[in-house]
Amino acid sequence: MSLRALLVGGLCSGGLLVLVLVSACVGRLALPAGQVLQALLAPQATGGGAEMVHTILFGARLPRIGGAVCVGAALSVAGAAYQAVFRNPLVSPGLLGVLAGAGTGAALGIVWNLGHGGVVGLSFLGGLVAVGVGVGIAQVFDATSMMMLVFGGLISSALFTALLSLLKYVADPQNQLPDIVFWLLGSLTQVTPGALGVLAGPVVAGIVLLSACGRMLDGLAMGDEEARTLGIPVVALRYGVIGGATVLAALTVSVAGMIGWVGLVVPHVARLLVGPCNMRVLPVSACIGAMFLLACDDLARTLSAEEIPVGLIADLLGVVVFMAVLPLLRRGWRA
Amino acid sequence: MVDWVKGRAGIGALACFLAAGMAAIPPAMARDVTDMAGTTQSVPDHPARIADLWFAHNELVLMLGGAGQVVMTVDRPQARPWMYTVFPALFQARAVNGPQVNAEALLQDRVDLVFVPDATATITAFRGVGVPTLVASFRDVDGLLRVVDMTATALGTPQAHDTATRYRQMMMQTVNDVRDRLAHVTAAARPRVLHVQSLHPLRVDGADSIVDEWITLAGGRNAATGVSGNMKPVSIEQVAAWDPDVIILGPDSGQPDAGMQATWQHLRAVRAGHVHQNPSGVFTWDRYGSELPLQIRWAAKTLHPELFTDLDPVGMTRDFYRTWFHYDLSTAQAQQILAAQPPQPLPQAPSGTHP
Repeated sequence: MSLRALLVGGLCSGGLLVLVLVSACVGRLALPAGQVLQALLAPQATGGGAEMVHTILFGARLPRIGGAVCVGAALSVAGAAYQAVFRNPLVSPGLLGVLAGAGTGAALGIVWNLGHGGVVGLSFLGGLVAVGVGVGIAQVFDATSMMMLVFGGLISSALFTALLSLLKYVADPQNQLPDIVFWLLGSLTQVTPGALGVLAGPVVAGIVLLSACGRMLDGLAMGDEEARTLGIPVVALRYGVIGGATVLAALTVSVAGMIGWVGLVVPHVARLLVGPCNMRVLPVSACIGAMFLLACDDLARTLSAEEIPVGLIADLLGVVVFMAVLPLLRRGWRA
Repeated sequence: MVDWVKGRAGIGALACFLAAGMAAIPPAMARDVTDMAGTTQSVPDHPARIADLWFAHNELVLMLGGAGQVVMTVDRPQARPWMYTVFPALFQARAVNGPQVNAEALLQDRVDLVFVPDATATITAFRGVGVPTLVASFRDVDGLLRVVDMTATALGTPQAHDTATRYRQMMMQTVNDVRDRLAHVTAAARPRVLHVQSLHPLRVDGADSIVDEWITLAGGRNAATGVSGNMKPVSIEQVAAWDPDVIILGPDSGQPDAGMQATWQHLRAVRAGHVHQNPSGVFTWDRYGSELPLQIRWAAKTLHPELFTDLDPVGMTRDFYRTWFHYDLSTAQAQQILAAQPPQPLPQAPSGTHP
């Protein structure tokens, strides 16, 4: 591994740690940084308002911080994996319909009044079903064609977007429709310590597994024939990576709603920093994505007394970041 | 050729259908009514078929004696069981999902007057097919009284006019009575009240809302500082930062989930046992409905019980329903309304009606 990659990796990890500590200290309730650090280092301490600091920190802030880190990392890695598999820098995790499917599932859960657990479960299921439909269409017509996979994803996205619109139309406009709209805007308010416990394991496992496929994804970048001559099982790798990235994306959407741009923009930034090698791009994307979404959520929960949807801030900041890196990307394409 | 003939026949049938619908609209538009948007519309002398497309406004039409005329409504028996219990005539109305109704459906149902909220994009289409359409939104007590007057004028019956006049007097009397009793209460003695519309997701009501107005009238201060408008999403940390003295849970607010339990239990209002369930009857008391006088008095007694010892919430509720809805509530029913519980048994649609 090159010195540059090591340096970038170290800086990203250190930066993420610092941002986590800063995030723990900022919020609508003014908690002295010293008390926050003390509560982090000695969670059992009591007296002097320590209980309140402990409650806010462990009951509200840290689950959200953990949620932002997990969701940002998962979306970025899923995006980088999709871009590598499809050999296209404009691809994002929503390509095969996972976002539309998860949104439809969540809306169905809200319309059926299934409660938070039901909404999360149906959302996750919806994301998987939508990608299953996209892949199924590709399988029916030409299992080996990447173009057919893209078309399958387009059809699935369109189908589930239409179903989502239908659910919005039939939803009770007084209670259910605002819930659907708020959910679709993306928010980390619903991340509880329990939900984080469920989310963290699969996200970490998914990121590690996809990162482990980095070298084979590099081989895939040279084309299917060349990859096969290198002994890479092209179709199995493609569908395996798509499956892993889809599960990651569906998990994030089911917990945090729709958060766009992260999966598209962050891998580009990672490539600028460590080059095109996927073994480095994937873990560095995870780190940068986690930092990006954590910063967005810090803004979402501190800018105003009202909760600003984090998806909205991620969209706005994502555009700014993309505009900033676009000249550098153009230089890279010309080279 | 056959297709062409069929097409012509279809167009002819459609034209006849529309013509029949247009012909069903009473031609006599004898009275001008100015709605809440300032638009003047000619309405029939005696509207016989009303479409009420704003949730909150239905209760006003019912109170003013228009239950028998409502043929289309956005309120459903599942969402408003007390409304259908007290006014079973509403079962004859077609329940529609929101105000975005097809204008031709109004013609088909021979609707001769429509009430809409101000955000409805279909007002132009309704007026375009000749159906008088009145904007009936309001945001405060004064607006409520003006909408009651406008609705009474639109209904055009002596009963509606009389009810509107008496209702205005009763509302002003309620506001003045509560104000007088609270006059000596200092600002510091007025509790900071947080009204939670939903616990999951967490949404509260801020300034510039009718909730803010009744909290103030009832001798409290809205704890949701920095938030403006109805049903705004906030974090549990923000609620902890406000740390209100009293929390009032909206009728459909749900329960705090496991994730917010720890912080919730630390709140001053929760520790002191000052968490109250907002009553809900024909319409939710805390929102835009004719039961607002009940809400003001209930909230005042909840926040300052020592100043309203003579106020019996059950008796007050029964009196209100008898006077304004012509319905004799039992004591148990009044208690159910005060606890935001649905009626038992739930209202059932008579056979042959829409729902």
